[in-house]
Amino acid sequence: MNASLGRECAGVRDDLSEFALGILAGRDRSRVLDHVATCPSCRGELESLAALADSLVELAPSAEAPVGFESRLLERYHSQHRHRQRPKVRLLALTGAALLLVASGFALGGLSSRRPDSPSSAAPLSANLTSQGRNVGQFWVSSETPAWIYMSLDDANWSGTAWCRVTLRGGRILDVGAFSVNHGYGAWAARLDVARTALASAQVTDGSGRVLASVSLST
Amino acid sequence: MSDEALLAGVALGDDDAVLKFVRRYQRRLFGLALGIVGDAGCAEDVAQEAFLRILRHASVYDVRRGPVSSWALTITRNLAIDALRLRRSVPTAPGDVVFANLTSRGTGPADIIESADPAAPVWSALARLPLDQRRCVVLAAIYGHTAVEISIMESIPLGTAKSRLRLGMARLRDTLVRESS
Ligand SMILES: [Zn+2]
Repeated sequence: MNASLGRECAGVRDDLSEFALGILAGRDRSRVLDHVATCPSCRGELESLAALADSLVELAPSAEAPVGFESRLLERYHSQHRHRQRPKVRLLALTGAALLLVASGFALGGLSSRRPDSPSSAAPLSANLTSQGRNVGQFWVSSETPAWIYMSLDDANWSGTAWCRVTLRGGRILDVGAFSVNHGYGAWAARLDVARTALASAQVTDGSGRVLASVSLST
Repeated sequence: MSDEALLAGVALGDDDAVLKFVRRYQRRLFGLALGIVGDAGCAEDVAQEAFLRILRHASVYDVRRGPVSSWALTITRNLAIDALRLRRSVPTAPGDVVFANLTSRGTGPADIIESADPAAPVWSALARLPLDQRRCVVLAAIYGHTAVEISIMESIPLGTAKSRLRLGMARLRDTLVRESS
């Protein structure tokens, strides 16, 4: 351990691997999140450990799925999709550029919000995540560009995979990604490709789109 | 066809791309889920749910965040850990051959894979970790065990489990960074 680390950093570093692997308990997770929101050094450490966690999961054993797995899955998939009426597009008809655009998910062109942050906005912005007027967690946005967002849910009374969606000023919506919520506890971080001044609000939803918590970032 | 192109097809509603994606990934997603939850029925539920989310959210996959495989496996892993917390009471060591290979002495895992495998550097870095750190890292990162569970399984104090995990992760990360530069 680096002897030059402050006591708070040293305490957080002990838990950072478990945090990156998604196995840290809820209360400790909040402590780590609070710290990395303000400490670039620990945030960098967390980023590298999270990338390692993603590589390690590639080593998991493969196994033959049970007979009928594929047909059961496709039946569920198509029954959910029947209501959607997506346009059917032949893959071959796509150009390489269109493929790249779709594959990269959110290409963020034409943002007009590259205003420099005002001097007073160097600290992370923090706001409550609420559900029907009740505080159910915390949401942070870092001051750098591109901005990091961090969120911690601690009273959502729900378990499963939660999805984060961000609305930019001007109405553009970004689906940012997913994280686990376990008995109401869950925490997650992601980097956006926009400045924090571009953010208007954020929502955390379950897989069906039901809103679990939301936050307004209008200042 | 690349994973990225398949996902783009999925996002556009191409049924053929959906089928190809499922066939390409079902053994890996099911295997990962099985390794964590330890029960074939529950592992199928987890793997199916993971596939549904991946297929539904194919359009938000961001190629700059890393390979499709890591994204898909991480979604599966998170769902499996969620499912597990609700049912696992007594932690037990995994019984599969991959666990045995990953945690045996010597360079075992590096011998059984081709060097063209994108995961090859991770295998070989893992094989060079001290055995006690390697076991803790594998139990946590691949099988979703918490430090408390690892301390029980390995009959070691909690503080020891946490420090082996931290040291092992840091050493792995440093090895991989050094070798990729
Ligand atoms: Zn720190």
